Amino acid sequence: MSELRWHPLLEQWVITATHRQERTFFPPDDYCPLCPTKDGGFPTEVPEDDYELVTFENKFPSLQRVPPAPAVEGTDLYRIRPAAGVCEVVLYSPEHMGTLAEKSAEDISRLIHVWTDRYLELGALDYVDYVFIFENKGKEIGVTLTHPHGQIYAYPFIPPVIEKELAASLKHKNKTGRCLLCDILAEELKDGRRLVAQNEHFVALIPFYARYPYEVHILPREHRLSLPDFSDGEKFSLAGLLKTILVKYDNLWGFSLPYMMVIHQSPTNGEDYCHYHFHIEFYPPYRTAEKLKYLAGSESGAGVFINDTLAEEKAAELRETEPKTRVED
Amino acid sequence: MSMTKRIETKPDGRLIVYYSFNRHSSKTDCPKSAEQTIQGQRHSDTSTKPERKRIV
Repeated sequence: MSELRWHPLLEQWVITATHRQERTFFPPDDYCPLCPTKDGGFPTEVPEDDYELVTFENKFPSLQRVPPAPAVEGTDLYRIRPAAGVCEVVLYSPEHMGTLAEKSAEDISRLIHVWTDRYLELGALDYVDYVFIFENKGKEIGVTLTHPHGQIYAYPFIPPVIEKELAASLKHKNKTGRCLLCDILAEELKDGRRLVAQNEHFVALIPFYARYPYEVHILPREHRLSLPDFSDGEKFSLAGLLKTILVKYDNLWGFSLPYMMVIHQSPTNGEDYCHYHFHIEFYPPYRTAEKLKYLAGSESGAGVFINDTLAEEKAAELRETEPKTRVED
Repeated sequence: MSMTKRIETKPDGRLIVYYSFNRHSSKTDCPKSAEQTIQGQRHSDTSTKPERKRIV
């Protein structure tokens, strides 16, 4: 069963998806459902025996193109909607082992082109208001399949975190006439202490307001709303900087660092969001090589993050991590 | 970047999209700084232990 239930106190939708309890959980390496189907082998999610990049609809989706009727009836207080939308899996490689950090920047650039195509195609669906592209990496994040992959959720509403960022951006635009994230980037570039790496088109930094110790954000220098706004050259530039950050993460403590990587960009509901600014955020769950940052009482129950570190110090630490980078004047 | 895609429907009705790329066209329109970044990073493609470098 799958449906959207309205949370009247937080004023946001909760997705129930009871069938996801049955989803594949850490299958053996020789029985991976995300590997290509081999001659004489068991059928996987990908019928072909090889591929470059593949997307397919999740077998255990939270949202569906043709959703089932809700299991219960709603009321004025307890609103309910069918869980319309699309949940896709993005396979980075036919090889079972490996991570995005181990891909070349050219390969990452191809992935960005696929993200762009999915944003356009899913965003064009009349029941989709927001295309959310993300990757959960590592068992610490709850990943149940180790084959390198990301995900896309095409929501029938604008998710609350994005809605909040949109509202703050619009408020700033109305007050100053400028883009909030353009101003944030200008302030970070002027200060310099929280910069991690940069190239011609993009800047990677741990923002002043970071909630996780190694929370890197990547922003375009120019005001861009979403992936289709980028030229091929800018996509290549983004791939290069993503590669730099991913390799730094893996070299930080000598193991493949788990993270959540999320892409924040303009909604696809047909309205004008010229006040918004594309960016990518990483949330690695580790605060030291041995200790995890848990979302405990304050974070989960009050929505108040407690960061045990200073963004200025963690950015310096990441700059010193191979491949070393430095702040340019 | 030259990208082609093929959309198929799986037996249970789910869509699957295969993407393929022209392997030699990806660096077209590549800005100089990005090209430099890539060259520096080729050392790390398999080891994730890249040669010491500076990104500006």
